[in-house]
Amino acid sequence: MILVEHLTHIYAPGTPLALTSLEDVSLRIEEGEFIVLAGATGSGKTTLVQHFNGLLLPTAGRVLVGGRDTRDKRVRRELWRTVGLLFQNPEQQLFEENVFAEVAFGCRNLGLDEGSIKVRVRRALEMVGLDPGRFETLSPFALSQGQRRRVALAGVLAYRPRVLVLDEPTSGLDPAAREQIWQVLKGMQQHGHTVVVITHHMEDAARYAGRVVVLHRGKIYRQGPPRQVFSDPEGLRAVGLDVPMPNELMYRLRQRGLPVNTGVLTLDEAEAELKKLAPHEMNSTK
Amino acid sequence: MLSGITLGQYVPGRSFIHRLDPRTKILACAMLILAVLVCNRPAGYAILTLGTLLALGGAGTSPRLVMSVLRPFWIILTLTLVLQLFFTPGLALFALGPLHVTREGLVLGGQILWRLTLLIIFSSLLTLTTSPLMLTAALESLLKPLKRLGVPAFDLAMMMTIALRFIPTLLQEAQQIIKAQQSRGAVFSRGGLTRRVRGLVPLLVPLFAGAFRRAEELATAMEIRCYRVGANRTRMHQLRYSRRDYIVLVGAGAVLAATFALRWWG
Repeated sequence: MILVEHLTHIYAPGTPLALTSLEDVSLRIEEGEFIVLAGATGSGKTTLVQHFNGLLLPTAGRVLVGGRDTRDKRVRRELWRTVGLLFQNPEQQLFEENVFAEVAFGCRNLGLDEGSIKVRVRRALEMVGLDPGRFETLSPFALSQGQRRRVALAGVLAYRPRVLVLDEPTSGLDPAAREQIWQVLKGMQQHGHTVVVITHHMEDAARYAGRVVVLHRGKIYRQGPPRQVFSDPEGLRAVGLDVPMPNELMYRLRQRGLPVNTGVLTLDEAEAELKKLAPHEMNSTK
Repeated sequence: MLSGITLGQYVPGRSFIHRLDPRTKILACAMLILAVLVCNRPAGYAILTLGTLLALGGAGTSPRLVMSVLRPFWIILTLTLVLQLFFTPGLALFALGPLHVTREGLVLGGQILWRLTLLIIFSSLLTLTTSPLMLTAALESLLKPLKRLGVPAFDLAMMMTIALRFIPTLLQEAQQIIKAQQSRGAVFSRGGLTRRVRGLVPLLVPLFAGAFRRAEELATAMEIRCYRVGANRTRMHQLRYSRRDYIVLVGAGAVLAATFALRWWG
């Protein structure tokens, strides 16, 4: 679906402020994948995803979306229809007079008829947990930050791009809202959409990602299934990332010489590992 | 859309110009701008151009950086040149359809183009080589004598720093919003006039909302740090003129004097 080949990106090249943000990155994203992009601040995550919908162009290398090169201006103009990118803090981009118009903005630009726009907007609002009847007519500026975030998310979901790219969609949200957004994204993936999410919540990444890609200083540092990537807490800590709590626990037990599997993702799996260690104690507490 | 060096950005460095006292830079800049406006003789332009080249050299500015500073202005620059070329009455050199390019137009257009270019370069050099903090300090110091006349020098300087400080921020934010709206299929640079004007709404509304939010946050942050309007403050770095400052001031003064002399007695 998205093919990144030897991508290098330099901001303000040739000036004293030149900054190499990505260096020789190659990445292949298949249709229907669920990818989590992780990395410390300044590692190039945002720069990378802005290449997916043609907002940024490679300084060197190339990016193909559905086999078409983003350097082609005509491809770029239509790319937003295929790759829906939700920016970091998207609540700051809202401008319409009511929530309905805000969510419908993308659909209108697609040129859909009013009837199907209505259906899609309602559906999208429901998906993000906002009651259409109550919110449709409110001004986006009257909502709380969390609600505005959801409105922005609904705006992307409503026009149903084949690839969803979200830059830290859950930052600053409470755990329930976070969970809901991950569920929505999972649902989109199950309907055949490709999902790419940037996040710092490694626990969520572990539970939802099919593949985790870790960036460090503009290069791909690790990539693979979460089980594999998270089984090396030391390596991830070295680049400013955390690992999910169950992995950390298993890793520490392993360091004390206990025979446990460090590739666990959930608390349940961690519990199963612990049971193997001491079957009697665990059963007696149940 | 907007990339590279943005308007009014400070590029840190250790060049001769960077190390000048900021007051020197402001005064020299003012003198040179006045000289550009007064100048009307080829000899005057030659002196000014020489001064500009010296200043650019002293700041260690690459030709590429100068070009990127001028780039945002290219429409205005070409437009003035073209208008002068065609609409100045005088001796026709050659004709393009009903329009005549005149010799006077060529001279006048060239002059205006060169003046504008020099003005842009001087003022950009000032902001390129002076941090906003130094700029305010200098302004405050220069405005001090006016305090006796009731001019709120410190407040003016503070307002100027804040404005300068936020130009790059707002530009950056505008860029960010443009990108975000393009990601939702918004079109900014195509279509007829009405479509373009309507296309600005998705940019301007969030931009203004953000600016107001920022202003409020800044005001709160300043109050929390006990900022009080009109209170006298001491400075960590005292401004002091050195030898190179006198050299530059005398040099700029000489350029100004020369252009005046050429205009009235030349």
